[in-house]
Amino acid sequence: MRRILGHVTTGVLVLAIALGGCAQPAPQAPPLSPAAPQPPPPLPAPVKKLQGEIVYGMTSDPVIFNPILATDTPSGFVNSRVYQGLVRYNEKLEFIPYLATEWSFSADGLEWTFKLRNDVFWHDGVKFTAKDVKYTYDAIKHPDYTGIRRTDFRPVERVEIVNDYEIKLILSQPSAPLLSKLGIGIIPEHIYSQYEIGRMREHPANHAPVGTGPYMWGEWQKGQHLVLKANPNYWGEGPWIEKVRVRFLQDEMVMLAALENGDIDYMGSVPIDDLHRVKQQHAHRLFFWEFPSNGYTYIGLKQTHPILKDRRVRQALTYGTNRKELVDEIFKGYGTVINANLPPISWAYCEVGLDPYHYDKARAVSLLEQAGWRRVGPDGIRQNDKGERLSFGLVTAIGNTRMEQALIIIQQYWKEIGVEVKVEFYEWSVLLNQYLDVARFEAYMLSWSLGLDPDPFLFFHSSAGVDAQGNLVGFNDVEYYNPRVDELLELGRTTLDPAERKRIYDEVQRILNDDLPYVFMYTQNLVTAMDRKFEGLVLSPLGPIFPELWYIADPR
Amino acid sequence: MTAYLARRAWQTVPLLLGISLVSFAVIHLAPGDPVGILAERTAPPEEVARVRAVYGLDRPIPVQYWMWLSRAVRGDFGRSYVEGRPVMDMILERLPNTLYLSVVVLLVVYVLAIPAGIVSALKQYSRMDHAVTGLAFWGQAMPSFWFAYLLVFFVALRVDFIPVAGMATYGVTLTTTGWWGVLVDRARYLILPVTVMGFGSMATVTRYMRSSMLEVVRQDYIRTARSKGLAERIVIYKHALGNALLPIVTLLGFELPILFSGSVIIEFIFSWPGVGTLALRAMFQRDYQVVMAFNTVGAVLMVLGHFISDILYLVVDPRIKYIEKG
Repeated sequence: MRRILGHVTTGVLVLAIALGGCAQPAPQAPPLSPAAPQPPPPLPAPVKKLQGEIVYGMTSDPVIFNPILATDTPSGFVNSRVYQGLVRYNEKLEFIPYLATEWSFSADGLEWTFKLRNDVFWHDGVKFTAKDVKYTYDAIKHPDYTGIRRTDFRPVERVEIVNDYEIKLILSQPSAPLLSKLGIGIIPEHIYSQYEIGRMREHPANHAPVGTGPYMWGEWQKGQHLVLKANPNYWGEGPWIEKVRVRFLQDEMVMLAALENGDIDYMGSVPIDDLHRVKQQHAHRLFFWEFPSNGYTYIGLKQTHPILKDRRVRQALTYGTNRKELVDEIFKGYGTVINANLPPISWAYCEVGLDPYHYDKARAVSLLEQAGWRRVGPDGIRQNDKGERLSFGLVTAIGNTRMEQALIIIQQYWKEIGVEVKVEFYEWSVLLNQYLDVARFEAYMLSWSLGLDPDPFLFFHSSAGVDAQGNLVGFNDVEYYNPRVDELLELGRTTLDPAERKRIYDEVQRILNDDLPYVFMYTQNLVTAMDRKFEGLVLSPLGPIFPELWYIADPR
Repeated sequence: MTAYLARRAWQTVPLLLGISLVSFAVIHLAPGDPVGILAERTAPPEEVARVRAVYGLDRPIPVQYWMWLSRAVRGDFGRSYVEGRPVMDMILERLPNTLYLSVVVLLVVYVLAIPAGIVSALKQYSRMDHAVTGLAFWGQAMPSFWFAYLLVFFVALRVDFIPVAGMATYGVTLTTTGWWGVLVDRARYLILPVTVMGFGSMATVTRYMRSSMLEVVRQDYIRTARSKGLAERIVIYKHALGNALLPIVTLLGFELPILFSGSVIIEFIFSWPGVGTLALRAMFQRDYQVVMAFNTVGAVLMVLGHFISDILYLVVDPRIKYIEKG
């Protein structure tokens, strides 16, 4: 749950593959108990044999092959193939067993028991046991741990080994979002315990990982290629593709050229400006898969700001922004307008009872007038009776071209209703250190990249705002404080029944849709291109999953 | 001579110290620090303080500088905050790639630019001169990233022999294809980046060579040489060229630091696995140790470059003597 921005800040990109993700407008919420393993593909049993390679294009080198320390997408890609978590999500984004075989919750929700597979070996031949699971979770909870997973495991009070293949999590309070966090890769105790936790980052295994997954460490020529080899002793079906190779192509346009040239088989996000042409020219060879990103772009409005604390002003800003046109203009239609805090792929996404805020300039103007901004000054900007101008500042990150384009258009829309916004761009760490993480700004525009669980506690709960000492505790940097939302968010965390949770989050979305702590903007769609020679793909709303099941029927 | 060299070497010490001090200060004064990567954004202040303490980031900057310096003089540049590896390893595994590209570019540029400059000077205002001058200015004026894109889309995508980006084909090694196969493979990947980088710097060298040659051929001793009836070839190559090359030779020394920093843009577009991209990422992530090591290597090479320049002067121009007592 961090902010994303263009490929420039690779370091802060989100580990979307291993842990990210969310759901399609699924009819029902996924159950928290293990779902049935997905049925085999209905094809007439094709000849699967271990052969060939799949070449991915990636813009930056991975940083560290340790799932509890990595924060960047390329490392996440490798980690998700080398390491495995207790659970993972399927094509309906439900959690299914991975290293765990089944699990159960005690009646009060405070004791979670996981049975583990007993046929799993680390790539070095050592047997995987409950000790590894305990070691991994304890490491995250250790005071000397330097990484960003601590919050995820806060509800876990302690981890108890029942026997070699059974483990118990004792929680301090029931936590529905916790299951989605258990997708994090388990690291080998027998290797990492050689170093104390405070120095885990220096362990050589971070650069020659030993996991339990379908792929094993191969070789890495920095900046050129990274190769993973099929694990011949993998406990499950597959892998069928002998090698996973990553080619590093830092420039998006050059990566596209490499895709067109046939140098790479897979490009995660084809630049939308070229999409139409590439689709036409390479339809025979490439397969395109469009999927919404699990996140959204928004303009955060400081709730204590003299102008922005008035809900009518916030609503006017939303009515006064033609978000549909913005999506069509900037993303060529590859995006969806959103009106609350969840993207359409989330199972808890709600549309019923939400104001769609269709573009309505007249309504925006009348709301501003109601809020006291009656007079339009000589410069076209509204003033109130005290002669103050309807003007505020907005900060954002430099380097994201689409966001920059969007802001130019938004400034124009708002000028038309008599609102002035002064935009300032900052380098990522400056933006965080001087504005967002100290909660000092009037407004800001950014994107959230979300986890698989819909819980927005850290964004909108009072306790995630600014504490008595003036420190920002969570991500509620706009300082939105609503007792009813607080109550619902607490309930949403402790309720384990998905249908009940859905009702809770529906109400949260309706309140946020009315209160507008943010101007909710849009969620972007990504288009992935992949060579047609790969079969057996399992497509989730977040892109192809289960890479160990993919195979090549006809190696060209 | 030895005494001169020793004195010059000694003079570089305060210079390097100054450079490291200034870069250390600038890097640490810039907003943000590596804690953004080492702890969650939502981490409570005491946790952030703890992480800072683990990495010594809580000490005053002068103390941190002293700690860095005392280890650096012993050759220990620390570990990356992000990757956890020794930073010198990270730089040294990429440095050869940057140097390799730069040296090839340098060779190509000098081999082509020196004759071009000579011809251009000797046939001043001829069609040839105009063509060379025009091309040089064009090369100077054209943005290299734009030229690079043009080559990728209009050459690499059309000519099979020329790859889009990278430095080597995966799987082509001495054991699989033999040295000839490797040589051809590596050469293929050099074509585009060398063209782009060479085109830009060729302009400078050609212009230098041209004006230097023009100046020399107007000298009295050239007139003398001509008047005593020497063949034009001898006049130019024996008497004029040596002197005209002087400024070019010094230019060569200054190229060393440029070679090291390479071209981040070219490395980026052609995905050349050099140090430029590493340094750029380290700066964005505030990976202080990597940035400091990068700056230090750069500073040492710069000092070394100037040093080599001076010595080259000595070699090509017998009139210049570095007398110990000045």
